[in-house]
Amino acid sequence: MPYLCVKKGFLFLCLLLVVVAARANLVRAQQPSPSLLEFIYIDAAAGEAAAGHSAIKLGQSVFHYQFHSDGLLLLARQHWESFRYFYNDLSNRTLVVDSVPVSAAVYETIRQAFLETYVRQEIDLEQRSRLMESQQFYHGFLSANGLVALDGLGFFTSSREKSDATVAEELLQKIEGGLGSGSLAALLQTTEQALLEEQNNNDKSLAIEEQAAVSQGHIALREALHILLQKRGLEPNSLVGQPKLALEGAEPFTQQLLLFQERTFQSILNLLKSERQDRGTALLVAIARYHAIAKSLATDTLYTLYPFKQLWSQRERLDTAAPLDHLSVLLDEAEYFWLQTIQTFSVTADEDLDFAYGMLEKYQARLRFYQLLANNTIRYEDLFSTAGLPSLKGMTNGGGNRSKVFYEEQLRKTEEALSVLQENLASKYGYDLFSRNCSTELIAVINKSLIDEQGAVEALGGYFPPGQGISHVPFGLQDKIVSTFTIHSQHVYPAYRLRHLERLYEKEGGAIWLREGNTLTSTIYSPWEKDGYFLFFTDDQLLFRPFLGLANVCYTTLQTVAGVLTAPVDSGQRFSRGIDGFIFSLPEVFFFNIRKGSFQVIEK
Amino acid sequence: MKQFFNLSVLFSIAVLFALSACSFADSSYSSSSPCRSSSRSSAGGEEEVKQTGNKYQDEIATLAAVYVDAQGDARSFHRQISNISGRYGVNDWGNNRGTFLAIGRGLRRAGVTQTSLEQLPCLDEIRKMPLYSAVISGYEGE
Repeated sequence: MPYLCVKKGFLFLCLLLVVVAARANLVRAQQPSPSLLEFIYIDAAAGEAAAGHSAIKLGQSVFHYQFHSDGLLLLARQHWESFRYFYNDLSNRTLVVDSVPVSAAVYETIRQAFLETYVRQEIDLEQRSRLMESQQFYHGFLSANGLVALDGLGFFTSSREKSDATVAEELLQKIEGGLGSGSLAALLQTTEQALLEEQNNNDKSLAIEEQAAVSQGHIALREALHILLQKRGLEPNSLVGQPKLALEGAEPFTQQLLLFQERTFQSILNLLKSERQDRGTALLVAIARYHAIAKSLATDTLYTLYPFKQLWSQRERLDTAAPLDHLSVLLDEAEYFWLQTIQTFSVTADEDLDFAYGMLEKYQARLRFYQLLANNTIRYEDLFSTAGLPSLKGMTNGGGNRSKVFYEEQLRKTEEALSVLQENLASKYGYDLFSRNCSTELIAVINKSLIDEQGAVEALGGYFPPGQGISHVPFGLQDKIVSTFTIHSQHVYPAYRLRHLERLYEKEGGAIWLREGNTLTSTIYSPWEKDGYFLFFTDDQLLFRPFLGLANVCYTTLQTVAGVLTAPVDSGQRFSRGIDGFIFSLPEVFFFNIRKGSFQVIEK
Repeated sequence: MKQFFNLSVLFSIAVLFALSACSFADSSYSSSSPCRSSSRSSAGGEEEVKQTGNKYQDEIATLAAVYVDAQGDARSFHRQISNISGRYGVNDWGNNRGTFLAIGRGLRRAGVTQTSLEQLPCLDEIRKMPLYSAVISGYEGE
């Protein structure tokens, strides 16, 4: 009997606990989730930040400061998924995310502060790009042939004879139908007059880069009008094509293409009517897109514009890290994304069609790039980092009617302004190991947005100035955040290799380390050119780290010595990977791990 | 041996500090480099289009707020819009309604009153554009 009572009592207690727990969960579920500032600590890695990296995640956007080769530390804005893919998977680094709960108002204030910092920085950098363009522009006038380069002009043939004029004829008729017969010829006359006047009496009240921009604007408009009136079409090289076989029966896609062509036509009309100084280049791209779509609709191939400023064949080889070993994976991936983009474009609402078409151009070019690489038609080049709006450059007569001395003076002024700007940028955005790095700047932006110490304490539960103690180092910053702010939760995203290793341990037991702990037999990791040599992974080994590190030191020393001998054959590649490996093996002897090994490709 | 040990310690410390520069943005280490599989699983999907549109409008709205604050002129305002729109694949921002909605939202956020919209120098040309009404819609919270 007492046993039964105890048993019933125990069951009742369990039931009560279950009910209480369920209620607590219900209450928690009903509470609005707090706005979270998510501070990310990214583990150290070889070839990048040896003391780690810091970032902040606000919703799905990640803001972080990156070091650039020109010595500037610039704020980058990246989507969380893409950020995690790069740092956590490809770079194989563990991420630790500490969440700080804040009110919705504070969250928005901080988000706006990062966004504003980013936009202000882009304004400054745009001025530098403009000055560099002006420099090229004036160099063009001073060159032997007096030709200047224009974005978007490279899409078109130099004469009517070289192209099929049917689409060009139809486009001209449609435009004159919309704007009136003879309107384009009249606009051309006005533009040429304006260019002449501007070149004779350039407006000295404008900044030097503005003066060049005004000229460039007139020339681009003049060229666009010439192209329309001379019914010139596209250069075959300026298009990227993919067979539409996979799209058979894709009626919605064709409908969307037609819709976007009409939208592009409206854009051409509006630009011709507009008074925007920069409309010339936009007009050139719009006309080229119109042609590309018309050709796609008339043939079995989907054509988009070539995405880079220069042709593949014209470029020097910039990077030797051709992903040839993984080409089939990358090709499959590119094809998958291309098909996904086609499907997306087919269902995208009118308001987002500009972005969907831009994406189509991007992924189609990517696919073509890998196809050409696989056929050995092109050499590998790192072009994608410069991709934006298609803007293939072409050369034209700048129509310069001023003396050489005038252009030399303009060039001198431009170079002077550029040099002053570079100095300003260096003092405003320059990297400093202790006072301006990826950790100090995150806190600086947050503190500034919360006005003062009191504001920060109320919003985050604590305050510290940028770089206090060792918070200028990413792991120091993480410690400082945890000890100063109110922490809601911490989440660890183990590095790609560690995640896989964990799965293998569960499946095959601890002995798997014998196979997976070294670079020669590992099934998860394959060595590649960007990683220096090493033999043992030490990021998951603390006790044996010095011994494994010593083995790595010996191995990399041997590779370096061998590299001296093979240098004449491999351009010093083995030597350089050996040195790299040696540098990052030494800290392991003293229990420090920096190198994790990174991945070129991850098969999904 | 002792010399090697000292040298190694110094070397390790030097490596730790000298290379503690933040993540590099250049070269094939960059996430945009094609020498690595560089796209995320949702690449090319509807979500990417939506996110691109939202990010674009976010930047345009912030730009408008910054320009009002700095009392920037129309010419440079246009140039900055073109700069942002180019990065997002939008060729003609004057034909993209989202651009105008975002400008309106940014101006409201910057505390501009509706009556003073008509006098802002940075909107001189934009007021003449066919989609100008979307600036008002954006300002009013669409």
